[in-house]
Amino acid sequence: MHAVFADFIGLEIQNGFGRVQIDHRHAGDGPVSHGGVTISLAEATAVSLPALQGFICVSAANQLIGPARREDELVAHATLVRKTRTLAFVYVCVHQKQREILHAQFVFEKGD
Amino acid sequence: MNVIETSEAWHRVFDDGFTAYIGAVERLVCDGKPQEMLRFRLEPHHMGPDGASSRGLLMALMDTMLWAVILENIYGCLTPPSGEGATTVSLNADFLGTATAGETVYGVGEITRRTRSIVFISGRLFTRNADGNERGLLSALGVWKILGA
Repeated sequence: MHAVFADFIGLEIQNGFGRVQIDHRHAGDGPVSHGGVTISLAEATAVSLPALQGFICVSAANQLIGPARREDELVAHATLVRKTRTLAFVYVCVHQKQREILHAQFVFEKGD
Repeated sequence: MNVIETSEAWHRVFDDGFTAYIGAVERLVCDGKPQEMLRFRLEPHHMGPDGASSRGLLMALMDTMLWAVILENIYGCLTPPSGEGATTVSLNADFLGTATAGETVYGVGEITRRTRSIVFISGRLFTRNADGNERGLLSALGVWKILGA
Protein backbone atom coordinates (compact mmCIF):
# COMPACT_ATOMS: atom_id res chain seq x y z
CA MET A 1 0.00 0.00 0.00
CA HIS A 2 1.05 3.57 -0.63
CA ALA A 3 2.85 5.35 2.23
CA VAL A 4 0.68 8.45 2.10
CA PHE A 5 2.09 10.33 5.08
CA ALA A 6 5.64 10.01 3.79
CA ASP A 7 4.51 11.33 0.41
CA PHE A 8 2.50 14.10 2.03
CA ILE A 9 5.54 15.56 3.78
CA GLY A 10 7.79 15.19 0.74
CA LEU A 11 9.83 12.11 1.62
CA GLU A 12 11.28 9.98 -1.17
CA ILE A 13 11.60 6.41 0.05
CA GLN A 14 12.74 3.22 -1.66
CA ASN A 15 14.21 -0.07 -0.45
CA GLY A 16 16.00 1.14 2.65
CA PHE A 17 17.03 4.50 1.24
CA GLY A 18 15.30 7.79 1.98
CA ARG A 19 15.68 11.42 1.03
CA VAL A 20 14.02 14.74 1.79
CA GLN A 21 14.73 18.25 0.62
CA ILE A 22 13.98 20.51 3.58
CA ASP A 23 11.65 23.36 2.61
CA HIS A 24 9.09 25.73 4.13
CA ARG A 25 6.72 22.86 4.95
CA HIS A 26 9.22 21.40 7.41
CA ALA A 27 9.88 24.53 9.48
CA GLY A 28 10.36 24.14 13.19
CA ASP A 29 11.50 26.59 15.83
CA GLY A 30 13.62 29.35 14.26
CA PRO A 31 15.94 28.37 11.39
CA VAL A 32 15.94 24.63 12.06
CA SER A 33 13.46 22.10 10.73
CA HIS A 34 11.00 20.26 12.98
CA GLY A 35 12.51 17.15 14.55
CA GLY A 36 9.44 15.21 13.46
CA VAL A 37 10.58 15.47 9.83
CA THR A 38 13.88 13.72 10.49
CA ILE A 39 12.26 11.13 12.72
CA SER A 40 9.59 10.42 10.09
CA LEU A 41 12.27 10.07 7.43
CA ALA A 42 14.11 7.47 9.52
CA GLU A 43 10.95 5.49 10.27
CA ALA A 44 9.74 5.47 6.68
CA THR A 45 13.19 4.40 5.48
CA ALA A 46 13.31 1.52 7.95
CA VAL A 47 9.83 0.34 6.97
CA SER A 48 10.80 0.33 3.29
CA LEU A 49 13.37 -2.47 3.69
CA PRO A 50 12.10 -5.31 1.48
CA ALA A 51 12.97 -7.89 4.18
CA LEU A 52 10.41 -6.29 6.52
CA GLN A 53 7.32 -7.12 4.49
CA GLY A 54 4.73 -8.40 6.96
CA PHE A 55 6.53 -6.84 9.94
CA ILE A 56 5.24 -3.87 11.94
CA CYS A 57 7.26 -1.35 13.93
CA VAL A 58 6.82 -1.70 17.70
CA SER A 59 9.63 0.46 19.09
CA ALA A 60 11.92 3.30 18.02
CA ALA A 61 14.87 5.02 19.67
CA ASN A 62 15.93 8.28 18.05
CA GLN A 63 19.00 10.33 18.87
CA LEU A 64 18.95 13.74 17.22
CA ILE A 65 22.60 14.59 16.83
CA GLY A 66 22.43 17.78 14.79
CA PRO A 67 19.92 20.21 13.33
CA ALA A 68 18.62 20.29 9.77
CA ARG A 69 18.04 23.64 8.11
CA ARG A 70 16.06 25.01 5.17
CA GLU A 71 17.37 23.72 1.82
CA ASP A 72 19.38 20.93 3.43
CA GLU A 73 19.12 17.60 1.63
CA LEU A 74 18.79 14.80 4.17
CA VAL A 75 19.65 11.25 3.15
CA ALA A 76 18.78 8.15 5.18
CA HIS A 77 20.21 4.62 5.00
CA ALA A 78 18.57 1.69 6.76
CA THR A 79 20.51 -1.44 7.77
CA LEU A 80 18.87 -4.70 8.77
CA VAL A 81 20.88 -5.64 11.87
CA ARG A 82 19.19 -8.95 12.64
CA LYS A 83 16.03 -10.74 11.67
CA THR A 84 14.49 -13.72 13.41
CA ARG A 85 11.23 -15.53 12.73
CA THR A 86 9.26 -13.00 14.79
CA LEU A 87 11.51 -9.96 15.28
CA ALA A 88 13.69 -7.65 13.22
CA PHE A 89 16.18 -5.02 14.35
CA VAL A 90 16.98 -2.07 12.09
CA TYR A 91 19.49 0.76 12.32
CA VAL A 92 19.01 4.01 10.41
CA CYS A 93 21.45 6.87 9.96
CA VAL A 94 20.29 10.22 8.58
CA HIS A 95 22.92 12.62 7.36
CA GLN A 96 23.36 15.84 5.43
CA LYS A 97 26.47 15.37 3.29
CA GLN A 98 29.12 14.30 5.83
CA ARG A 99 27.22 15.69 8.82
CA GLU A 100 25.25 13.17 10.87
CA ILE A 101 21.77 14.35 11.82
CA LEU A 102 20.07 11.38 13.45
CA HIS A 103 20.73 7.81 14.56
CA ALA A 104 17.77 5.53 15.15
CA GLN A 105 17.17 1.93 16.14
CA PHE A 106 13.88 0.21 15.40
CA VAL A 107 12.33 -3.04 16.54
CA PHE A 108 9.82 -4.77 14.27
CA GLU A 109 7.51 -7.63 15.05
CA LYS A 110 6.07 -10.13 12.60
CA GLY A 111 2.41 -9.21 12.04
CA ASP A 112 -0.52 -11.59 12.17
CA MET B 1 -21.61 21.38 49.01
CA ASN B 2 -19.61 23.74 46.87
CA VAL B 3 -20.13 23.31 43.17
CA ILE B 4 -17.10 24.26 41.11
CA GLU B 5 -17.97 25.19 37.57
CA THR B 6 -15.24 24.79 35.00
CA SER B 7 -15.07 25.83 31.38
CA GLU B 8 -13.16 23.68 28.94
CA ALA B 9 -12.27 24.57 25.39
CA TRP B 10 -9.86 23.42 22.71
CA HIS B 11 -7.65 26.06 21.09
CA ARG B 12 -5.54 25.54 18.00
CA VAL B 13 -1.81 25.97 18.61
CA PHE B 14 1.25 26.08 16.30
CA ASP B 15 -0.46 27.68 13.32
CA ASP B 16 2.65 27.69 11.15
CA GLY B 17 5.56 25.44 10.21
CA PHE B 18 5.60 21.66 10.04
CA THR B 19 3.02 21.13 12.76
CA ALA B 20 0.47 23.32 10.99
CA TYR B 21 1.30 21.65 7.66
CA ILE B 22 0.43 18.17 8.89
CA GLY B 23 -2.86 19.26 10.52
CA ALA B 24 -4.55 21.16 13.32
CA VAL B 25 -3.13 20.52 16.77
CA GLU B 26 -5.40 21.77 19.55
CA ARG B 27 -4.66 22.29 23.22
CA LEU B 28 -7.11 21.94 26.08
CA VAL B 29 -7.71 25.12 28.04
CA CYS B 30 -9.56 24.78 31.33
CA ASP B 31 -10.73 27.90 33.18
CA GLY B 32 -8.37 29.95 31.05
CA LYS B 33 -5.35 27.83 32.02
CA PRO B 34 -3.58 25.73 29.35
CA GLN B 35 -3.53 22.04 30.19
CA GLU B 36 -0.87 19.48 29.29
CA MET B 37 -3.17 17.80 26.82
CA LEU B 38 -3.35 18.08 23.03
CA ARG B 39 -5.61 16.53 20.43
CA PHE B 40 -5.31 15.91 16.70
CA ARG B 41 -7.74 14.48 14.17
CA LEU B 42 -6.37 11.81 11.84
CA GLU B 43 -6.98 12.29 8.12
CA PRO B 44 -6.42 9.82 5.27
CA HIS B 45 -3.04 11.40 4.44
CA HIS B 46 -1.75 10.53 7.94
CA MET B 47 -1.71 6.81 7.26
CA GLY B 48 1.36 4.63 6.78
CA PRO B 49 2.05 1.84 4.28
CA ASP B 50 0.05 -0.65 6.39
CA GLY B 51 -3.07 1.53 6.18
CA ALA B 52 -2.91 2.47 9.89
CA SER B 53 -1.71 5.68 11.49
CA SER B 54 1.87 6.37 10.40
CA ARG B 55 4.38 5.72 13.18
CA GLY B 56 6.37 8.67 11.85
CA LEU B 57 3.33 10.90 12.22
CA LEU B 58 2.71 9.68 15.77
CA MET B 59 6.33 10.40 16.72
CA ALA B 60 6.11 13.85 15.10
CA LEU B 61 2.95 14.54 17.11
CA MET B 62 4.65 13.34 20.28
CA ASP B 63 7.65 15.55 19.53
CA THR B 64 5.33 18.55 19.12
CA MET B 65 3.38 17.77 22.27
CA LEU B 66 6.47 17.36 24.46
CA TRP B 67 7.87 20.57 22.99
CA ALA B 68 4.65 22.39 23.95
CA VAL B 69 4.74 21.05 27.51
CA ILE B 70 8.39 22.10 27.91
CA LEU B 71 7.88 25.60 26.49
CA GLU B 72 4.87 26.15 28.72
CA ASN B 73 6.85 24.95 31.74
CA ILE B 74 9.87 27.16 31.05
CA TYR B 75 8.37 30.29 29.49
CA GLY B 76 4.70 30.12 30.41
CA CYS B 77 3.80 30.30 26.71
CA LEU B 78 4.56 28.59 23.39
CA THR B 79 6.66 31.42 21.94
CA PRO B 80 10.10 31.56 23.56
CA PRO B 81 12.30 34.66 23.27
CA SER B 82 14.55 34.84 20.21
CA GLY B 83 17.54 32.53 20.56
CA GLU B 84 15.89 30.49 23.28
CA GLY B 85 13.61 27.47 23.28
CA ALA B 86 14.20 23.74 23.43
CA THR B 87 15.28 21.05 21.00
CA THR B 88 14.91 17.27 20.98
CA VAL B 89 18.01 15.26 21.90
CA SER B 90 16.44 11.83 22.12
CA LEU B 91 12.98 10.38 21.68
CA ASN B 92 12.25 6.76 22.51
CA ALA B 93 8.84 5.56 21.45
CA ASP B 94 6.91 2.32 21.90
CA PHE B 95 3.97 1.73 19.58
CA LEU B 96 1.12 0.26 21.59
CA GLY B 97 -1.56 0.32 18.93
CA THR B 98 -2.82 1.95 15.79
CA ALA B 99 -5.64 4.27 14.80
CA THR B 100 -7.36 5.02 11.51
CA ALA B 101 -8.53 8.09 9.61
CA GLY B 102 -11.38 9.87 11.35
CA GLU B 103 -10.22 9.04 14.85
CA THR B 104 -8.99 11.71 17.26
CA VAL B 105 -5.60 11.29 18.91
CA TYR B 106 -5.11 12.75 22.38
CA GLY B 107 -1.74 13.37 23.97
CA VAL B 108 -0.53 14.10 27.47
CA GLY B 109 2.99 14.89 28.64
CA GLU B 110 4.71 15.23 31.99
CA ILE B 111 8.14 16.55 32.91
CA THR B 112 10.08 14.04 35.00
CA ARG B 113 13.01 16.31 35.84
CA ARG B 114 14.38 19.64 34.67
CA THR B 115 17.96 20.78 35.16
CA ARG B 116 19.56 24.04 34.04
CA SER B 117 20.06 22.78 30.50
CA ILE B 118 18.18 19.47 30.14
CA VAL B 119 14.58 18.33 30.45
CA PHE B 120 13.54 14.68 30.99
CA ILE B 121 9.97 14.14 29.91
CA SER B 122 7.47 11.39 29.22
CA GLY B 123 4.29 11.34 27.20
CA ARG B 124 1.62 9.14 25.73
CA LEU B 125 -0.78 9.28 22.83
CA PHE B 126 -4.13 7.56 22.92
CA THR B 127 -7.50 7.50 21.26
CA ARG B 128 -10.88 6.83 22.76
CA ASN B 129 -13.21 3.96 21.97
CA ALA B 130 -16.92 4.48 21.48
CA ASP B 131 -17.43 3.66 25.18
CA GLY B 132 -15.02 6.45 26.16
CA ASN B 133 -12.23 4.13 27.29
CA GLU B 134 -8.70 5.06 26.34
CA ARG B 135 -6.78 2.95 23.83
CA GLY B 136 -3.02 3.51 23.91
CA LEU B 137 -1.18 4.34 20.68
CA LEU B 138 2.29 5.41 21.76
CA SER B 139 4.28 5.90 24.93
CA ALA B 140 7.50 7.86 24.87
CA LEU B 141 10.45 9.11 26.88
CA GLY B 142 12.33 12.18 25.72
CA VAL B 143 15.38 14.22 26.57
CA TRP B 144 15.44 17.86 25.50
CA LYS B 145 18.16 20.50 25.49
CA ILE B 146 17.15 23.96 26.70
CA LEU B 147 18.60 26.43 24.20
CA GLY B 148 20.42 29.44 25.54
CA ALA B 149 20.90 27.82 28.95
